[in-house]
Amino acid sequence: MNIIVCLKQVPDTESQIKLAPDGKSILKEDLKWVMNPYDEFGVEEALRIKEKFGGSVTVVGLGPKRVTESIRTALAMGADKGILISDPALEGSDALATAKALAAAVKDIPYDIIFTGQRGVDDDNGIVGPALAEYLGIPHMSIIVKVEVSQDGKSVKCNKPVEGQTLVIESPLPAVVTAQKGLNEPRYASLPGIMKAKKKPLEEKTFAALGLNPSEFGEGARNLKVIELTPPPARKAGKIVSGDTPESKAKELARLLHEEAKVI
Amino acid sequence: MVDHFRVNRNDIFFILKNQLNYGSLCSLERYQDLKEEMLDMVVNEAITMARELVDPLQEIGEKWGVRFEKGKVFCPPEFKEAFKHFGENGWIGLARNTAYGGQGFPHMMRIVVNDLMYGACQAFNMAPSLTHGAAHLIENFAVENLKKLFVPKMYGGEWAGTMCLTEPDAGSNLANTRTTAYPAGDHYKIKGSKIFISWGDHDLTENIVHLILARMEGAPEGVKGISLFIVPKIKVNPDGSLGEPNDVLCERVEEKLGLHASPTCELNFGGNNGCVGFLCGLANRGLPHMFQMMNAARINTAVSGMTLAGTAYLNALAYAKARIQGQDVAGRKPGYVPIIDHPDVRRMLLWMKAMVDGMRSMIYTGAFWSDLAWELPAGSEERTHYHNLLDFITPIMKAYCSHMGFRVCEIALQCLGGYGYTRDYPIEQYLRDAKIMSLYEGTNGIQSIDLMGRKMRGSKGALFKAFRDELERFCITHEHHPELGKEVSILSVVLEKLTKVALKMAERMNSDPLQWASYTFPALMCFGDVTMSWRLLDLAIIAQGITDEGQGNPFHSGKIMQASYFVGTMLPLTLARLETCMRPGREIIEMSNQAF
Repeated sequence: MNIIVCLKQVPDTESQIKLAPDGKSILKEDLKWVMNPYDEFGVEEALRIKEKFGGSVTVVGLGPKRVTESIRTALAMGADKGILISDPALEGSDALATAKALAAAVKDIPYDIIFTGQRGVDDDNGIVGPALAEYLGIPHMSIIVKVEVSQDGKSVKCNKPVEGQTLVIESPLPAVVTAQKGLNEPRYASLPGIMKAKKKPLEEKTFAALGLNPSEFGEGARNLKVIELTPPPARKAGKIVSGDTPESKAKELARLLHEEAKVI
Repeated sequence: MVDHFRVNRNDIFFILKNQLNYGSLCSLERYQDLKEEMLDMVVNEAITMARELVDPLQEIGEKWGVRFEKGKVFCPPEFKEAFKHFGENGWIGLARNTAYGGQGFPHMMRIVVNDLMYGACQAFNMAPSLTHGAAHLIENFAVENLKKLFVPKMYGGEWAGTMCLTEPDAGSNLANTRTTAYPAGDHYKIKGSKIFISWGDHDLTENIVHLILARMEGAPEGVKGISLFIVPKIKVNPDGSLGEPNDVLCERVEEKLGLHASPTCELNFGGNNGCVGFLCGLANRGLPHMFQMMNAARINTAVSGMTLAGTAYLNALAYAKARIQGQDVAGRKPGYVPIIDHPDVRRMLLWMKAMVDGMRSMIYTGAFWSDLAWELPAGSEERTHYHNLLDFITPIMKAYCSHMGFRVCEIALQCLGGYGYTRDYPIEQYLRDAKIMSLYEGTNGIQSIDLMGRKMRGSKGALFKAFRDELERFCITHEHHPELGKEVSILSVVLEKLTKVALKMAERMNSDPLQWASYTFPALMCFGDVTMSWRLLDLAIIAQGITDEGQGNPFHSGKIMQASYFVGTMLPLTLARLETCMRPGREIIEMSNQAF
């Protein structure tokens, strides 16, 4: 099977996010960038399918040069090759433009199944996966926690949690699947994997090479405009309930909830 | 309680990249196939693993402890899984020879990775680390068929390993080793008892390979009659499959202050005359062979002291930012403020920050030197220089970082007030776990005797000269630095005084050994303070350069201020302590035992 995984690089949750002076973006210096956690589930699932059916896993990333770090991590986990779409015109693109660029990069590679994360943990849009499927003219299944490829490799059955129930959906391949937490436990890169990763091919593609028109990308072409970013309100300090025994702590907690918080 | 382990990735990379340029190791012949970005990936992956896989073991292990039933030790199942992961993914042998299942990364990467893993769970990481140490000894000294039989399985995590040195009457004095090896064809029959064997028995792996010091029957008395033997718990067939048990019994498991998940065992070898061992290396050369491992283990002990201090400090910092208590002493803010606003709390935090960063820089520098000492072309002057530096700084790193690491844990606990004393917070465990570092791998007293005796006088003073030259060069280069020149000059003055005192003490070793031995430990601590100041000032000067280019931020100003604070508050005390090393008073020696 030929499997493609699209990945995004996002600020690590350990990084402190600070707003830029323009009030519409964040400061990108001093951030630690990592593979979007939902995309990691996609990489892991792709590797498991490859281990079962054979074939190859291609990782496609998009953005500045630093994104190669995340692609290399996927290669160290076991993916076979990487593609980085890198073009100055990309900066500031919205989700639809991102999907358009990804579609241009994958359309000429053979593929049976494409994974993306169900959303990026930075912008929380959840658009790229479905939009990519639209641009490629293939079905998509989003927010998926279980993937079963049929023995003949022609279709896929997926589980999607809906309102406490599970929706089981089936689709012919090729298709796009967007990965949700719970799909699997992503593996760590091994040291032999890191050694091997450096010899695996990692191709860089510009818009010119992909036949894309730069004017359809970037800040100016956004359909979605960010008007303002504000930090969440600072959390108030918590209270530690004291007491000698669990019973006395529980009693004090009940009193506080009743008298101070007035919720019970 | 989860997410105890805290480490600042930027601090680590600032030392590795900006201070040491660790990517330059890739130009050494042994590392030609490596690139800096691969080393970065190892560090990043290790941070992820430390947080996700190893950190939870700290609490699991503390709760489970060690179960000793019918002569067998049982460990938490999560430990077994983690050990397997370490082996299968190449972490045990990460810096070792690829011909025997290692991964061929630089020696210093082992130290960096251990920084993260020990910080996340000291009790657990001892198991892979000891396995590495034992396998490395076999790789270095044993004959080929034994290497092939044991080493790949140990680096691969199928079998574990231990170091068996101590006996009831042979602790710091190994000359008294009584365990005996009787020749029996191509192998030896081993008979004797060993105590304090870390990870001496457990159920993480199906076999445990003990590296033990024993005296061959009829060998000379003292240290020159000790040899090194490979003694598996289960006998190994020539094809590598497991045979019968090898008459190695775990007699008891110690109950300890900390490291509750690390089984410290008493082992009996050959109680039924059925214990077989194989000579590792040359007959009667066991101690020098073991010391090759021991020197590496001493750097690792420094790492443990430093990294437990690091995670304790960052836990205290998080608490100080969140805990609201008391009013601002100068009324700068209305109402109650987080305790990080109180100057006395800040004093503790800044001291800890400087200690941890300085110790980490000192250790990484030593680890970087170890690659240059072992991998530069043999016979080159440079290689000898780095060898001398590494030999000299090893006892300083071991004793200073274990001694001060413990004290940082104590101050971290202080920052939490009464809560720090409870098990609701992780610091009391770090404190208990960290105490062992000043005791094992040669007590800190022994380290100070080694430094002020053998190391000061070693190679006709060449070891000390290498160290002094390195620091003197730094002082001369930077004494007119516009921002930090004053601090560099203070270091320069203390270095002069230290040199005088150290040389005087080296003379005194023969002329007045009792007075000499009374002050070796404070002298070692002075060496530590000076090394710390040097490393912290170096970081500060790099940070100042970045600031001057307009790229500075609070991270960089932190590096600058921690250095000026450390030099300004610590070195005056160091100068005073150096004076005390030379004082004529002889109370330590002359007070009668009855007077104590």
